[in-house]
Amino acid sequence: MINLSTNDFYARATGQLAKLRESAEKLQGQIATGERIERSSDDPVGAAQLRSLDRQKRLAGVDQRNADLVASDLQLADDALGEMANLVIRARELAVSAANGTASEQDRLIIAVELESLRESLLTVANSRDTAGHALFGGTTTGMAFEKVGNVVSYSGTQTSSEVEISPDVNVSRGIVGQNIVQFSHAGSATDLFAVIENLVAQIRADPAAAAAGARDATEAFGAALEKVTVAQTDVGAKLGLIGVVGEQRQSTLNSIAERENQVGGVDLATAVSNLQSLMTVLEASQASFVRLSSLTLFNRLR
Amino acid sequence: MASDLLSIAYSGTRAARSSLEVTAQNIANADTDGYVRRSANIREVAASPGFPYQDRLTLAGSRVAGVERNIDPLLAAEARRSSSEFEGAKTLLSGLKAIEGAIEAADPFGAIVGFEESLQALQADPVNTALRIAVIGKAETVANAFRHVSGELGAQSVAAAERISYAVDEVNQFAGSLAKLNEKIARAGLESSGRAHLLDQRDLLLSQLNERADIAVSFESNGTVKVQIGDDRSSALVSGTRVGTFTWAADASGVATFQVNGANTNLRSGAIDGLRQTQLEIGDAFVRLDQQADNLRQLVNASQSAGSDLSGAPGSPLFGGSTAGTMSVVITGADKLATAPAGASPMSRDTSNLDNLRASLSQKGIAQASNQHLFDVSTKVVKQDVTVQAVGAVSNAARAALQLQAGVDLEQEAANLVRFQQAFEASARAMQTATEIFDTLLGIG
Repeated sequence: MINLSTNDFYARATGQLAKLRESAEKLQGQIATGERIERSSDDPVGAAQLRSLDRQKRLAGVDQRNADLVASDLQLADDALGEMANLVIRARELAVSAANGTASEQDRLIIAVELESLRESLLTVANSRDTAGHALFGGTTTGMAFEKVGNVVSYSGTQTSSEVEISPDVNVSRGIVGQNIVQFSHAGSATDLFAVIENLVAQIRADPAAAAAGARDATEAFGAALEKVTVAQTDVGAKLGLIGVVGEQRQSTLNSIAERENQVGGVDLATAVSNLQSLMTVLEASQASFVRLSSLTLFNRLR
Repeated sequence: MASDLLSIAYSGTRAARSSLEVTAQNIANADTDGYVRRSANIREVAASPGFPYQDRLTLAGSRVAGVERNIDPLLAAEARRSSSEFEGAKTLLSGLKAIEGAIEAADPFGAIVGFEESLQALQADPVNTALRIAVIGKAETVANAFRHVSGELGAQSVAAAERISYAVDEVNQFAGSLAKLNEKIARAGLESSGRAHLLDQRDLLLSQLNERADIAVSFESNGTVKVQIGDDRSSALVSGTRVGTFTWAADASGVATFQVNGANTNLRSGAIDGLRQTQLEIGDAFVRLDQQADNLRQLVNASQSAGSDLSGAPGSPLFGGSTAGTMSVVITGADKLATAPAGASPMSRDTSNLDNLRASLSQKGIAQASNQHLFDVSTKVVKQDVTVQAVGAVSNAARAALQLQAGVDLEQEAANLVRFQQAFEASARAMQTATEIFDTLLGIG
């Protein structure tokens, strides 16, 4: 004869109810946090993927911050180059005036004074600092980009600028080195913007009456210098453009990472809620039937 | 003959009363651990009649021949064996979960990624003190994470050893109690009600022993047991009234080995074996963690010595300690981080050494190794969880089968109460009839 142990009946019933409650609580936790994986062993493969995705996301976040930094430095460089272009244009105007045969000696001497002050402004702009306080056009130098000894201004920065990673496979140079902006070749020989100004000032001071030829030469040189500054500005613009493009790529990568994270570790709310509902129905039914069954005892009938 | 009828009816009431008492005992112990349902064994009494009625059919009522325990030793053995496996599997599962928890809570993977992040941020401005300090801070986080996991694993290892030690003590206590019970069982009468109680105690002790370790039990005809533990068959833990000693010792790698009376024995199931396997897993986790910590330390320190720091001097080691538990940050200042290549001028913003470090951290898969470790541990948890569920189902089925036979069913006992009460009343009615007959006989006279 089969003997249904009462003790076993209670043990089984409570075991089943506990299991149902555990499942319900797990679902409830998933709905509350929106995450399917609470601990790694809930889904080892998914959890490992999530950790790798998180690493990608965090490193992309640093790329984003680095790109923002470089972009703001490049923006500063762009502004400084614009300023420089204006100064060079003004210098060229002055040279044109000085080259004019009707200009008096007095006019030329005044032009020389203004050219000197233009040179100071140019030097200040060329020695601008970036957001971190380093020389904007000095490459990786620790000091100034340009130094002035007496009346001679020379480039004292490094030959190249450092590169910053803005995505796992794109590095962007953080600026333009000063010598590439001010140095150019004129009439077959290498010269630079500061030297041209200095030369013109020296010629006017030496003999204001005969400076017209020198001023004409300087006008051409300023034209070449302006071209150089404009090229540098275009270069900066291109770099900013690259950062923008890479930024869009990064954003789409981040979006797809978020999507993958959601696929791997997210909870489908509709499914989870309906699962929870069906589980709760089963749980309630089990509880009700347990109460009914356990109240069904012969002892109630013994009078 | 009326007096015979009276005594027959009286024996009936006694038998019914005994059955009622057994039923009441069953009801009272419906929830008692290890209690096996009893039933009174009622036999007919046929006394030899006196002269001159030897050839007559003579009835003398019924008697209680003994109290039976309704248990099948085979089912009991299967229930014990499967619960032993279940206990071992459960213990290992909780050990694995604890290892997983330790790694997950301290999160060395996240710390390493944080370190990588800070290095990448430093690349944007390698001479920036705030960024350099951030790198040192993240390095501290990495060292802390490794130390924390290591410390936690160490504590788990100690706890496992303590629990083994405690369980081994329990095994010895149970063995001592079993030997005493063996003595009592040998002395108790074969059909006595006290014997049923002793056998319940014996079976309970056996299952408690079996929950801790795998045992081989042989039953003697008088109800005493001989118990051998593990795979050793040369000596016994309990044999009659003799008790052996069960001991354990840690081997060179700290994993428990077991001896019974000095002879080595290997356990294959039970909580103690689960703890031993947990020790193996903890040891494995330690090895891998130490390896990860050492790989990271060597890689970073090699990069430091290959580059030059802010003052232009060769970099000094960043991490100290060759194990996860002793990992620390030993660099003396943020300016000592060697971001620039060897021979660079002071305050150099050349990041090629830093770039090399970042590339090799990524290529050597330092973070990946940590990720993989947690993956492996959590996969083990999942596998063990499946094992526990399978073994648990077997164990539950065996227990249910045993309970079907040996457990108390209150419905049945209620029915028995009614049945035996009726039997009692019927016998009482028979006594009344006997009295009436006797009175009638007296009245005739």
